[in-house]
Amino acid sequence: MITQAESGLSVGDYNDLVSGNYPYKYKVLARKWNIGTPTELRTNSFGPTEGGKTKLFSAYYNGSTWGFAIGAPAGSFRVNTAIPPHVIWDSANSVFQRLYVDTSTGALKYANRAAGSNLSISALADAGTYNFPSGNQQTLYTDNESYTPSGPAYTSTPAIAGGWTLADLFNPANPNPTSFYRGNSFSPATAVVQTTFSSAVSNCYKVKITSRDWTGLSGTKYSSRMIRNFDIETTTDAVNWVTALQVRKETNWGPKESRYYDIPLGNYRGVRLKIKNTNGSANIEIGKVQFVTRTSTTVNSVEYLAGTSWDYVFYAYRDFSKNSWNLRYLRRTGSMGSTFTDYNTGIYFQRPILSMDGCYNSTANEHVLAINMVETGSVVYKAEGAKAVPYVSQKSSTYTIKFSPQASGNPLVPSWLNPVDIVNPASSYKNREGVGINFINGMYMLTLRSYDANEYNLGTTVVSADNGTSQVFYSGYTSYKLYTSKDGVFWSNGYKIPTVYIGNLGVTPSIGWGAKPFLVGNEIQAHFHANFVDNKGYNSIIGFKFASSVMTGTYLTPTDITDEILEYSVDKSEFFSSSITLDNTSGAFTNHAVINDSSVAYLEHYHGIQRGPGDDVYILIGKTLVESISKIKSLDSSLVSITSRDLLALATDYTISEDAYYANSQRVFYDNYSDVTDSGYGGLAHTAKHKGALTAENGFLQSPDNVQCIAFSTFATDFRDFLVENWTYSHQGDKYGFIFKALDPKNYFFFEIEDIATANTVTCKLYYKRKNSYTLLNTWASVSLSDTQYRRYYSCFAGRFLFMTGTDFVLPGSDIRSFDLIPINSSSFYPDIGSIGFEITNVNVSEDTYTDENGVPATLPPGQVM
Amino acid sequence: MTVLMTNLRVSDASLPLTVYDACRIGFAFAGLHDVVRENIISGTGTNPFGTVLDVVDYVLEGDYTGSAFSTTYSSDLSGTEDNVTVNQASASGSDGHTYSHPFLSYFPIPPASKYKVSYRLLRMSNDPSTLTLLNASLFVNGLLRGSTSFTRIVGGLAVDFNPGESFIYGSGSNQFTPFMTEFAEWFTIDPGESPIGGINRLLEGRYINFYVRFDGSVYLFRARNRSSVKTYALDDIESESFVISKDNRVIKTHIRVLGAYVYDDYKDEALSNQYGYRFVEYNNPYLMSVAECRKEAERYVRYSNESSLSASIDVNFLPTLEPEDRITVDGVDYVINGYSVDYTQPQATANISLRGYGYE
Repeated sequence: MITQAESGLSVGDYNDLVSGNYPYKYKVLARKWNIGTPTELRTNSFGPTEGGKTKLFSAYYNGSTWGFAIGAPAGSFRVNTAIPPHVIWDSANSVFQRLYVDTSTGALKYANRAAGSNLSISALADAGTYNFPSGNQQTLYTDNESYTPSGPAYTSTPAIAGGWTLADLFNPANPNPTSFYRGNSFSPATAVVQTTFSSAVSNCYKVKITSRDWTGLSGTKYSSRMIRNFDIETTTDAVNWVTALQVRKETNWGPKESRYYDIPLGNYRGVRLKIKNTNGSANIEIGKVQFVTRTSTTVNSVEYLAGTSWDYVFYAYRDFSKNSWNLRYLRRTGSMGSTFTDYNTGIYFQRPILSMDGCYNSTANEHVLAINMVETGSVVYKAEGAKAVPYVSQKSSTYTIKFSPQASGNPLVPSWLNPVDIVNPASSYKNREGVGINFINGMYMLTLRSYDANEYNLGTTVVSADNGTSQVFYSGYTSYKLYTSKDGVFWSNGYKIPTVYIGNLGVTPSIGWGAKPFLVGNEIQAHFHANFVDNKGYNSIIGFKFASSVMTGTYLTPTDITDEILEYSVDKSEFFSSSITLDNTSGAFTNHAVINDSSVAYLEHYHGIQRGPGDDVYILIGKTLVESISKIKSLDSSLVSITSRDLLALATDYTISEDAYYANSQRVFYDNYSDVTDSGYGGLAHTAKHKGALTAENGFLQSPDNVQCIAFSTFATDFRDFLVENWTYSHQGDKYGFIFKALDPKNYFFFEIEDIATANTVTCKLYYKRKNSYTLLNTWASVSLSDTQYRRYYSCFAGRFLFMTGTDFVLPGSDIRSFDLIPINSSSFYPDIGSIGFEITNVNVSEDTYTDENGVPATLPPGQVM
Repeated sequence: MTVLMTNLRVSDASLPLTVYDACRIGFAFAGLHDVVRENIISGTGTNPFGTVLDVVDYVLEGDYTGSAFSTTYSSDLSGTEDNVTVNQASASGSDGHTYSHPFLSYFPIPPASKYKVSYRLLRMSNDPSTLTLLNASLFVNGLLRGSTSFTRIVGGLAVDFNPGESFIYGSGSNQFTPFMTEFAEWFTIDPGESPIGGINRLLEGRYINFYVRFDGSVYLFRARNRSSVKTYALDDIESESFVISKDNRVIKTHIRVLGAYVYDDYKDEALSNQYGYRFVEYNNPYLMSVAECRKEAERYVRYSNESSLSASIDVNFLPTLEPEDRITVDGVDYVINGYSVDYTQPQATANISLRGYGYE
């Protein structure tokens, strides 16, 4: 029943409508539904010196005028981490403010200009500076695989006879490892090949060994001739040699395959290989041996800015020491500059952010960040030569986080991740980038640049008519996608925006940043800065706009088709549908702007009464999409017949998922290790033993005395954020703890509790175990823990691990231990998802002797697209 | 030494996905963002409930208003601790057990926020006697704040979130439990499938239906008691005959619903006395509790009785009527299946298709 309140009518009008005392009338209004092909937008407002072919761009629209900003070239930053400036509208001062990060100082700078003026870094003097908190400048190490970066002369020392030539082996001028080092007979049992330099090669920390190119030859044979067991020795004085690494059982080399071997960081005068004759081959063949050095650069670790309003500027801060991305924001508490207050949202991601944008919803009083970030999957394998190499699979996913304000002056409080678009990490040909978001017409609109191409559609070369340059575009399946949501939580499928033709470049240009949607009048516009220079030598701001349509909530004045209706009927059961016959004698519907057979029309059906001349009362009874149009012509008449169906058709027919879509509920598990099967094994039904004779007896998971035990829960294997409680009874001298984010039995985090000999006190340690080697991350000594506090609480959330203890029915109070993941200095990524389990060591973890020669390698390279 | 461990309780930070939420996901996927719900219960205040629900897995949602447990925080949110108390109650009131539990401490609770408390039965066995653990998780603005468990269940549950305890001072308002409150373990849409395919898979075996209302919102509903919104006398009917049909073949009097682990029956003795004993068994692996199975069985029985009676009338169109409205025709209650209207200005004659009304 449509109630009086829902009808929007007054009580009197509503009562008259349902009274049945007046003649009936109906009214049908038509609007345009679909957005159609976007129209190109282009400006030539920026001179050739302003930013070059930069990717940095930001726009803001204050309701009447645009503000634009072009940022600095990306060279000062790491690839993909150049910070786009953000332009926001300062309504208090009626100026646009441009925010950007100074690449040399790491400070946030801002400038302003009155509405109607464009902004650019070179054209506008800075009006103020906000210095981010200290520590935002970080040292980044870059590998240099040159043999001798500083170019010292080398000498080689053949250590064995037989006509071997070492020149090519260490020759930096011969980088192609097609040259090789050959011995016709391998003798003696241990051979040494070495080279020394005239001066030290500094900052060496790896040795790279590359096999020769035997492509076209018998691969198996040449693979077996590659070194298998060898020691790497280094020297700092070209006299004394020190063993840096012992390597054993290296097999399955592919042609021109490079492998890296870590050595202590140092300044070396030489490197040599001591080769053990245990590979069964008379010949040894090596392509090339190189030192890998590293160079350090200072980079800014503020990687993304997203101004959601004049008062709030969110930014993503990369902590290189922890490999985490921390979401923070600046809140303006006065005028610009020194009155910014820096807040930590408390959110740390262990996976890289790829793009970020934000907006403010004044109705709900919430800031919404859209974050396009790496989606790490499980370990997958990729063939490299004859070897299957594990990778942490990686794609991009897009989420929103809603931030709600507290009382004035207190930090915003986040929601958790609301998925918008998750790209399956196993997909090799899909990805998303450049997120943009805005709140328009009561709806969140989010855009992503979408790669849905496969290998046959990649790499179309298009020559620009603007300047004659060639560029490669991902044609065919590359487009922008538009996602909508009313609440920022539940999102629509990505609606592929029809290809935007910019000049004759063909498709959406390759840009690094998203096309943030704006409401301009009745149209949706999206602007971005093209990564090309037009025929005038200018950088162009380009973009596209949609015509007004119901789909995007931008309405034009509807067309009233009531007077042309000859026959009209509606049907309402599972669907609301209508059948209308229109009089087209006048030709009004021959090329009608809305009712035509080349687009979709949207009808609003009103039912009403006529109380008197000009005194009509209507109530909306349905909204439909036109599904079919028939034109019926005869000698004396011209009719157009249309049928339409309500918006449920969007869910039944017009939206089809391209990919498998999956959402799961909160997972809640419990295990009391009770053997309900009475079989002696049922108590371990949800626990997978990996090591040690764990048993489940009398409702307890038990370990034998002084034996290392490892077990994993089989409830799920993909926990990222979790809350775990268990009851543990231990004794002084016991060492045990909690495993989380386990990729496999040799790679996981381990929180160890050592019940030391002091009463009511334990020592806690956090390790990361990689390839069976435990790295101590943190130690907490003298943690108070009485014998009655047998409850253990472990949680991981927003990149933080939390440990608490407590007794039954008593708040786990004073023994909270909290720390951020991952507090270690490493250039490696750690998994942020995995299984949970328990480890009872009762021995020092360094004494762990479990080995598996065919195990996971020492490093798990992230981000390899499979 | 020997280390003993037990009572492992694990929850992740995903939002509890009710059937209602899962439907919202599916419809939002198609761009239909307005989904209208009805509630089992709703109320205002800190402790408005006492209703014993017929499901054991459910959510309670509402608005929290008050002063958070702390009003000042450093920019680095860490090291604080808070808790919320959840009361377990029987139909006659609290049984006196109050359980405290840890909550994630990183984030304060905003003074105005949306909360959602999920209550889920932890099922570790098909032995009903072991189904004795109930997990409660609190989400504030979509963020998991904590989780705890009750070790026993006292009859039916009337559990609510009481924000007036301990460190959280304030009150709840606009609290509700939607009709589609039971949990969907997952929601999927296959490649090449429309969202309605996923929704139908989700709703399979549950008597939940939906249509798009006048304003474009999706109305999800379950048959239930409702008031008659319109009464027609025989004089109001414009056609020459008022056709009423009764098809006794579709009536079932005893239905057993087999859930994932459990099953239950619903028998209508009065109906059985009228039409004889008619048993049927349905398999619905999505149902996780005895109460859900019993409720679905009851809905099947009632619907079979409703659909056995059908009628059709021609009347002047009342534009405010919608499908599933209860109306009264010649003293008998019906439910509107649908209508069709032919307009000839200034006439609008509707043919309304009806089925029986199966509730008291």
